Amino acid sequence: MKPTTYTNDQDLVLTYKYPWNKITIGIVIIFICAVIGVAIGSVYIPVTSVFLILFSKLNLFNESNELTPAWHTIIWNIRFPRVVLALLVGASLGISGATYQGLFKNPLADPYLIGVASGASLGATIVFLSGIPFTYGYFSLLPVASFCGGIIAVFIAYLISIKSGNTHLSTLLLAGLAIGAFATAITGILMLRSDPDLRPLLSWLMGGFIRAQWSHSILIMPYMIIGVSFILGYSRILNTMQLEGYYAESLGVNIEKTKRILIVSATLVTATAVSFSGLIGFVGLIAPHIIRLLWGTDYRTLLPLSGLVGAAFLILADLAARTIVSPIELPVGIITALVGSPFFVYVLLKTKGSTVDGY
Amino acid sequence: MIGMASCSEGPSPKQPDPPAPASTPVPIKPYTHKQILPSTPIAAPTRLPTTKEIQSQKFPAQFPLTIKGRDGSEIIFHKPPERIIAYDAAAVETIFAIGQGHRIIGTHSWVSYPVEVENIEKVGDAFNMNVERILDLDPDLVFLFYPTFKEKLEKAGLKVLLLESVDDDLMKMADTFRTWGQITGAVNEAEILAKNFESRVAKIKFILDPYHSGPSVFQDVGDLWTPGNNTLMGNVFQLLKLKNVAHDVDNYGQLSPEVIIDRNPQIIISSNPDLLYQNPAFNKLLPIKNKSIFKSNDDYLGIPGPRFILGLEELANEFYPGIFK
Repeated sequence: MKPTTYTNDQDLVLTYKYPWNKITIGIVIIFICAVIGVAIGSVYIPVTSVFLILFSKLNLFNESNELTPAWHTIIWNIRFPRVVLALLVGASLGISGATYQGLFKNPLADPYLIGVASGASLGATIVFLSGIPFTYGYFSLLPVASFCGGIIAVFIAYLISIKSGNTHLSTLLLAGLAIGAFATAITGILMLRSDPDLRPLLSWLMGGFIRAQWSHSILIMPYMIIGVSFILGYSRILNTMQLEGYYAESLGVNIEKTKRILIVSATLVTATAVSFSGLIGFVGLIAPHIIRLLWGTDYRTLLPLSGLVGAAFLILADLAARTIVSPIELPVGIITALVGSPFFVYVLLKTKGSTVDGY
Repeated sequence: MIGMASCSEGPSPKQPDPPAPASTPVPIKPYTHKQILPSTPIAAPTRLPTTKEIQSQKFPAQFPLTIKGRDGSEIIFHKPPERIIAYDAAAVETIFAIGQGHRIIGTHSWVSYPVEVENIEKVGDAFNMNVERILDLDPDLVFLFYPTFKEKLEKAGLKVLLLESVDDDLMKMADTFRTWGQITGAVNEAEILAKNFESRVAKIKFILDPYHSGPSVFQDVGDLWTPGNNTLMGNVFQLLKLKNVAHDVDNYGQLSPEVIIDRNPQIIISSNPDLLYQNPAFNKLLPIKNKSIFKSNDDYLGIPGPRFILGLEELANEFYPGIFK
């Protein structure tokens, strides 16, 4: 890309105002989505009861006896933790998607690109098929294994790109693809050679929030906060990196170090999300693009807003997944692809004339 | 592997809902499933034929024999096949149970019963088949439990049999036993096996007949996947008068956790209870509170063969303790 693209935005770089109003709007939308997500489900619970249960939990007033304990469990132990987990995972995927797209200057980059997903799947498959009892109390080995698998895959890809003598990002991308293909092949072999009862593993691989518990959100939180803080902290440098390398370096940016920090952060965030929700495609791809098409390509705006769009989108997608064919559930990945792609095409057509520039 | 086997057998014809059990369902009250419902028997059981009686009647093996396959096609046998590739756990168990195991020369790698199977060549797993190896073995019958490879094998000139699925009616299992008897010529042995199955099912039916509907049940075959209508397990629940909480699910589906809580099953069956015990959302359900999730024996109920009745009786004894002598 020509650096001239940014000359129009010179003032933006100099007198940048943080998009508090947009972020506020985004948070309000997420709040509305979350309320809808908690209020609706495959079991009908009157909205007034939903609020009574929520308020009673917040000690705003005492719970009335009319509310059945089953409803209480459904709202507080099923829907609410599920919405919160979808929110966190959606935000993680949106932000890491935008980061990868910026890093690789590639509009098709998504959080699963550099082998994270395949590595995570392999990790989960190994634990699942090894016969190790993978649950100890509230602690489950499955997310840990998928997290390790994802991180190891990216780490190997990174080592390969260093060994090849240039840390150019396209090398990392290709190494990631190779590692990913390899991990997928191993997963396939393991699944062929083993116990027929793979249903839990398959449905985990398909992704979803049917297992969501409060403890999952709490476990995700620290990794997410650390990863996202680093990404947001370097968002200004992501802008600079969109310039040709030598321009960026002339601005005094240590590109190599920044790249490394961003890759590690984005992978950390993605692997954490994958470990509790399985593989959910499309969120990390479309959330950043919607923001780009609507509000431009400044990464300081793009990153937080992609997170907000991803969160809102995934809350609603999960709501659809658990209500469309009630009483049974669909994998949420089906919904994200089914709803996400036409919506994305709509946004593309609606904003024709503008280009998806700025990687 | 209860789910895997039956769902991979392809869509079974949709059956209308069977009539509801005898009278009004009992309201769900907080009791453990150990309790039984009161009633009085309405009639004495009709006497069932003994094994001896069956054995004394000689059923001749008849050839040539015409067997109707699942798709209506007819397969003609002029003599019992000597080299069978039985690509199905239930078929292997049945053939061994009627003493004709020596005819089997190949099966798939998930079949592990009876022990003699160890020495039988595995020509693939349940979903992948080494067609070249099968051709090399030169079988005179290939039995399949799902149609994917049927055409390919037929084109290669092999005799391929695919019997009607038993998913919608477990009594068809007895017919399958008889069919194997006819094919292998062990008609009497098959008749004993079939009668044994039928009489044991009839006994369960008879003993449960006077009872109103029993407790409600949820079976978790992994990650809240559960059998609904048109499944073998759904059929088993109907026979045992257990109210399946997934009564409105067709085939297998992943039941929404909030629906499970709302429908409040009194019995939970699972081969991996730990995951359910650990989810705080479920800790108010009785079988979880009482740590009484029933760990099912998938080797029995997962394979519609001769051992299926053992699984059935196990469930009956577990959920209606004391009334089956």
